[in-house]
Amino acid sequence: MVTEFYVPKMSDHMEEGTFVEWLVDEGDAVDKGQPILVIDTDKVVAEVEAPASGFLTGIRPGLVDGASISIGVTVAFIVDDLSEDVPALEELGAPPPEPESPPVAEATQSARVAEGATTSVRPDGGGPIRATPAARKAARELGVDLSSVSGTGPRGRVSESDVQRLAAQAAPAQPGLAGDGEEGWLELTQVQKVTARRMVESVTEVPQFSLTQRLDMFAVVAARDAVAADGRSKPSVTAFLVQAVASALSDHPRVNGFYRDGRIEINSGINIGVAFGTDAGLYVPVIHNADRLSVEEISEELAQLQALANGDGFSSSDLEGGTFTLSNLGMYGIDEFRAIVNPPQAAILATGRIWKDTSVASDGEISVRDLITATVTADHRSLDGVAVAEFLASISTCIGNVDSGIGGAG
Amino acid sequence: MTTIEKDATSLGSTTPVMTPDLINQVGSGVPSHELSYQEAIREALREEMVRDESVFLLGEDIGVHGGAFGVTRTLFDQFGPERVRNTPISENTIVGAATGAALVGMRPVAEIMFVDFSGLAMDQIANQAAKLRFMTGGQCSVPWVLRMPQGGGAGKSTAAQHSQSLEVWYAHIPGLKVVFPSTPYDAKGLMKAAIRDDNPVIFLEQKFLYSFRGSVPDEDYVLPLSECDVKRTGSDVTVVASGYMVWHAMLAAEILAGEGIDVEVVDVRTVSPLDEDTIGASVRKTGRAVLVAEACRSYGPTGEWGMVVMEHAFDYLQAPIVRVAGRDSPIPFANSIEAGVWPDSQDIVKAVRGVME
Amino acid sequence: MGIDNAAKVEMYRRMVLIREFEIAAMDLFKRGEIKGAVHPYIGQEASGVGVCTALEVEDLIAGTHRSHGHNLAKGARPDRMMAEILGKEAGYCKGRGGSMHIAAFDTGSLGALAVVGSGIPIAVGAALAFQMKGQSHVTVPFTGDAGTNTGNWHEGLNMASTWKLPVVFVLEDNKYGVSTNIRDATNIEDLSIRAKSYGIPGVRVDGFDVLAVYEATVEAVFRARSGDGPTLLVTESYRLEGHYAGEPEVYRERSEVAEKWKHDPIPSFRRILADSGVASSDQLDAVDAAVKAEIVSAVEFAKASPEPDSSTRVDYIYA
Repeated sequence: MVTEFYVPKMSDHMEEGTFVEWLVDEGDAVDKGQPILVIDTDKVVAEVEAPASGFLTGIRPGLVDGASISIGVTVAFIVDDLSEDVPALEELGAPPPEPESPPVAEATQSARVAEGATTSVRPDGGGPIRATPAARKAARELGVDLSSVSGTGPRGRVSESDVQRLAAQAAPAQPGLAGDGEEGWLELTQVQKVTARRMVESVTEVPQFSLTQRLDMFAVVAARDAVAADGRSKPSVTAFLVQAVASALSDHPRVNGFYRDGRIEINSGINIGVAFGTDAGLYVPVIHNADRLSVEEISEELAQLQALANGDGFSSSDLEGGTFTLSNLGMYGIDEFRAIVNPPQAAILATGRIWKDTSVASDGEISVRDLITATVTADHRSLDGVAVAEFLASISTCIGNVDSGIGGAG
Repeated sequence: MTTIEKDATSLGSTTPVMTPDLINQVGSGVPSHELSYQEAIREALREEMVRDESVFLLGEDIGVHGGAFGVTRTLFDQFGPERVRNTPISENTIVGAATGAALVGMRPVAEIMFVDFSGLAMDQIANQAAKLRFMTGGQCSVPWVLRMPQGGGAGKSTAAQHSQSLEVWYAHIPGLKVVFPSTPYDAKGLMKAAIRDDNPVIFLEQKFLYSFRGSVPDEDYVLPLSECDVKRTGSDVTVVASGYMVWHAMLAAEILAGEGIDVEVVDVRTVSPLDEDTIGASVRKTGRAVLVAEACRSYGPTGEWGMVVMEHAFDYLQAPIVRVAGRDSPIPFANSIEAGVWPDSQDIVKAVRGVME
Repeated sequence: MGIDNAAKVEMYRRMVLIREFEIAAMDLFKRGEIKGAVHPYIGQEASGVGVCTALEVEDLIAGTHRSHGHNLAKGARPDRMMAEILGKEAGYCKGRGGSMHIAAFDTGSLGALAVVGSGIPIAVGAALAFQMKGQSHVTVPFTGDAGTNTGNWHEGLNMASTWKLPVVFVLEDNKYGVSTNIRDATNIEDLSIRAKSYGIPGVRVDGFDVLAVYEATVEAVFRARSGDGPTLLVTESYRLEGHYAGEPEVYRERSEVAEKWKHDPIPSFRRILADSGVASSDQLDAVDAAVKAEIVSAVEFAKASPEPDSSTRVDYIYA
């Protein structure tokens, strides 16, 4: 039997990998599941496992260090018997003259683990995960998978602060309230510990201020009703808020940026973390590239996240990469509240319930409107009152301009 | 302040220089006087000889000549040839005689002219004195002190047989205590402690430090033989050092402070038994350790300290432990190749910057 | 040299005690009950007993790896000695030293220092302390013939003679350093002439003759106590057993050893005592029987003693 061995898709965005090395030689016996090839995706150095047991043969020529291999391209065969014929593979295209060096790791990067592959973060291109003992200890305590952390230290070494930063992505914007316990002690869950630590760090290290504005939700309510009338399921209010925030952030990149060492690091992606309550504590899973999604797509993702919150729990990739956080407690009947900034993010939006109030228009006409109270808390090191006021105004505009027909991308 | 040392010019014109005020161990208002390291040792010997008649000195040329480095100068005049006893050049018997005298109630302070010569006395040090109490089930103790100048100094050209740093030879032998002071204050307080201690104590004197000056309290004081001394507190990185390297570490700390790096300097002034707790606590606080010794790198003190860090502070490490140590080489004579055989403050600065990345 | 009959019988008793102790120790070693090594003093009893009879309790001896005999001659108890070489807490060194490191400070034994020649400098230092403190005690380091070729020995004789220290350097010439005959390791026949180069008396005496050894020691001790400095005392002896119990002894002819056994110092001394009327044969038989009983009970005592408790394993490393 002849089994094709090809480069599998190993992360959501993976199109191709870069050849690093074979772990076995032509003609070697391999066992199913044995790592036999190392490739470098843009974020992960991965060992690709043999799909079958047998002998490796027919290796595609041109697989040299730095060569690009598209996913799905057969690179060799695994045969039961070396006497079996296999097709001769064409030589792979020459590698680019200057293979890209591994990208500088960023806290917002995610490392994705693909089926059928074991992965490790190797920004330097070799060896097991590099991490300081303190980072390993922190990862243990915080329940963080080290392989999901991008190291910022020398040669990609994961530091304690890298782990804490990643853990912070998983931390909620609000400290979780411990349930009613019996007399004695109630242990914090790992997530609650992270929350506790990160919130203390936030209030001690980040100078914060808050601005509050009422948003007119008339258009949102109308859009939801329209969708429902269409027989489709209604996008959630949160989905509309995410979309509006994403749209506003695209106009205000400072709000989407991180304050670091006296400068503002601008994030290319607009990834909105949304606070979710679970029994284990509050999580902030992320809607990645929310500015490119329709409100229905956002709503669907939120529903999926809610299912994860109720069920299997979030994977590290669900929790990584947030650039802004939304905490909506409207469904709990909260009128309004102020959240705490979730570092290194620059700002967080806290929203309460939708309530009806009379509104007097400029022409004196009195009407009943659907309102929501939105409070943005911001890092005063990178944002000032005017910037946040303008950002809130953008949200207000976006939320007011929701297309009542389809809720299309704003 | 007098500049004691050295060509720090390559570090830049604003670089701190190695002056006595790098290390202040006597509080203001405490009656004190200034002594050199050499004078501090002598003062300790003198005071202990006055205090306790069983204390006597023996060694080569320690009488009228005052010893190769003048440490015992004037003591001969005060105490005479019985208690400041010139010996034949017989290192093994100098130490053995000290042991025998100690077994019957004396407190000898023997001098080996250079630690390099102590190989001749190794049987008496390592096989006899160190083990007698243990081998005899506690029937005896060997309360002697063995003074041995060691180490080098840039440009001294004392070459391969007069410049080594051999503290680990002795720290490796259970039953011995090994002391290696870095300052006049420590030298005096530790010498008094060594003389009063009931164990054989190897007292190593860094030759280059003999002229270093510092304040010493007027009143009698004795330092513990079981503690590292935190010479400077800091939060970012722990530099562990002993002897002359403590001064380089302190100078490096000054330089690094200018870069916003807060260095803690732990002085291993008692090499053995090693105060592991102080090293461990410091690295648990800072998360980083740079270990500095004049002795050769391989199997040297830094290796031991590194393991102490692993055993006491592993989970707190923010960076790999780095050692800065003497080159694995006999000490050369010519200045051009002697240069760089020992670490200095610039090496420490570089190492600290490295672990702060 | 006044020495009464009782003292002579006591010298005999100590020689027999050493002999029986060593026989028992060799037996226990060969049965595997004693670990490590046993270096028997058999054949040299007259040397150790002759020397130590001339000493006071306060005088200090320093031994070697072959010092069961020195300690017993100086007055150590056989039961605590045997307990020590069986590694028991009741031993003189609480089981920390063993056969090669028995010290009994209460009897004036600084200890067996098992690196050849290493006891010399220590005895010199103890003598220095006696001199500085104005005490009239002497120190007596034992070495074998091989020990005289160590730097320790020469350094020690030089320093002690220079400072006129109260030391009697006893050189027990048993002819072998492990397997090497002293004649193959030294260019002189008479080791006592080495004293000349240190300006001290060198005395050579028959090491199988306990009275001769005693008398020579008395003279050397007198000289030492008088402040005239050290003496080198060479006792011409012979090691009738191997370097260690069970040694194959490939380095010497059986006939050579058999010849020396004919001069075994113990029967010789017994004959002298009986012939000169110091003690009757029955009296000496009674001594022999008492010693044998003492050794039996010493072995029983040692075997019954507990081993050191493991919780004490780091005791005595530091004072």
